Amino acid sequence: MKKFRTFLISAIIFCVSLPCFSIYAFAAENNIGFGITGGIDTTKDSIVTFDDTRTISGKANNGTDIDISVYTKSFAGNYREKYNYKLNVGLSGLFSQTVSLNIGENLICINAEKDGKTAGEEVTVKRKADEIKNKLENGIYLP
Amino acid sequence: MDSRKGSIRTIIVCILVAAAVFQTGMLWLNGNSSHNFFYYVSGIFRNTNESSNILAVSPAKTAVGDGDSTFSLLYGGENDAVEYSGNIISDLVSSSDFENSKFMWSDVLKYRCTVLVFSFSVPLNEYTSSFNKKANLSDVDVNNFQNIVVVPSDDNENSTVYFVSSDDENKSLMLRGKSQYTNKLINAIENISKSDNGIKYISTSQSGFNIFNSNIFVAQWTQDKFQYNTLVKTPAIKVSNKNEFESETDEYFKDYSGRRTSVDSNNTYTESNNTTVLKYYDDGVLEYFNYNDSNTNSKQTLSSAYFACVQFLKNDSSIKTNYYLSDVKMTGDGLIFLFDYYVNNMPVVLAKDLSIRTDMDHAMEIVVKGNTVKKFKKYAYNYSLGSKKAYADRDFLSAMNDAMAGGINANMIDDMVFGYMDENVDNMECNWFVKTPDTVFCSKAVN
Repeated sequence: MKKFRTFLISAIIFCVSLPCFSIYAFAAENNIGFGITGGIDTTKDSIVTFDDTRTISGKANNGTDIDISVYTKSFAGNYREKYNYKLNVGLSGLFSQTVSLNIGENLICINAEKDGKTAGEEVTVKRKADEIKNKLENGIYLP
Repeated sequence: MDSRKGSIRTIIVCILVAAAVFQTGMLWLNGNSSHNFFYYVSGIFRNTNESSNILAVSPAKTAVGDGDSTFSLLYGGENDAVEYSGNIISDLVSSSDFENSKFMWSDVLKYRCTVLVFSFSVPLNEYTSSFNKKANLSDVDVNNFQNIVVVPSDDNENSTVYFVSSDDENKSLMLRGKSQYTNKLINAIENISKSDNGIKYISTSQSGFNIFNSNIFVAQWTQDKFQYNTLVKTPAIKVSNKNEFESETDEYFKDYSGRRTSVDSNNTYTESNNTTVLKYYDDGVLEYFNYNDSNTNSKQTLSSAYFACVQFLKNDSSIKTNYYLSDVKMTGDGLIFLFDYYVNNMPVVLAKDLSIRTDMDHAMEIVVKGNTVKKFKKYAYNYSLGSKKAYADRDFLSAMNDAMAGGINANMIDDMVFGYMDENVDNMECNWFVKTPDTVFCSKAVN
């Protein structure tokens, strides 16, 4: 019983302290000041658009390398890198990049790295064809 | 019968004599601008409706957005988007009441809209009075604005107009109502947004770049590089002798009094009469001085002075390049209106060396006092697109990094402009210009 109590207390202490490690890891990961400020809503899993480009804006510490990749999804369901953009953040602490989008599903991955520390975001942008937009604007029923 | 003929002849002679006296009086008395006998007689026919001689100041540039977070930027006021936006503003000023409203750029710019960007802080009461309509301005929180946002509704009838406060961009005055121009503005926005010349603009506020003092529209290439035509310039006034100079400058001399023309050893032409002096320097600068005091005490407002200014420029037939209102300053001499040229919706900025040599920060400076142009100074060149191509591949953030490395604080930046720099060379290329209240920092557009 005593052993069981000791085990239970140790387990509770371990479980309680686990998030603290996670928070520390999060803090370490994002102490390069990385964040997306415009262009995509990272709180959503996917975004729908009719535009063929999207301007992604963000912030990070001076000297951070930003890598933006756009993957398109094939009919078979495989992702293939279609576009890649590399930036370096300067004194302003800001970055901005217009990325191209294909019709269909585009997975946008934004990664930041400085002095071995990394951070990142990803979002899916579904681009619809212009014909659909025209039909919607003209009030044509879309089954 | 004979007596009747004699009477008719007498009447005709009297009319001819009166006309001759009147015409002679006009010539002698400088167009009867002083209060002589003819002033009171001609006053019967003079249009005393001064309310028609007013004009709302134009925006320096207008951002046109279709709700997709990118904008087209148009300089000056000579385009459909500005015209219909102005019509909607006029309709709503007269028909709707101002409401104090919170304002967030990111909330408004996600809709189809036009943003009229003024280069100076415009007094609200002056602007609304220029539409010749009394607006109810009691209990308003905004006294000056630098941006007007016009949002036409999808119902093609109603529109919303925001006058964004110069002092606090989170405050605005809102007008809402019907306008017959709503549908026209929607069509104009759609047409403008469809065009793609390789350059679009983004809003710094909508992009979450809150380090700036206020919202700025900055250029962003849609491809890796932006290719464009270089710029060439030609003198607006071509002179090789005194006679040629006189024939090129007739429009500056309104009356019929004698003109005297001379040219000195520095090749500076001077032409003058009793009230007007015109000087044309070898470096292409033209200066005009009007010493006529007749209208000096006429009541002047921003709108009436701007009307006089625009009328003066319209009469200048040597100006073939488009121009926009860059700034307005109040001095002891009167209101100074400052204009710059633009080509293909890209501004032309005088390089520092040229600016120092000509003693001009802007291409045209007009001083208006008593609703009369008293002084006009112009860098007398016309610009056009050349055949040579150039490209730009450094974005606005690179220019901003350069400016910050040069000691400029980001929150002092008023504007970041991509435009042609006139370095007095044959094919002028584009640069970035980072503007603060005190300085303009120039940065290269090519890596």
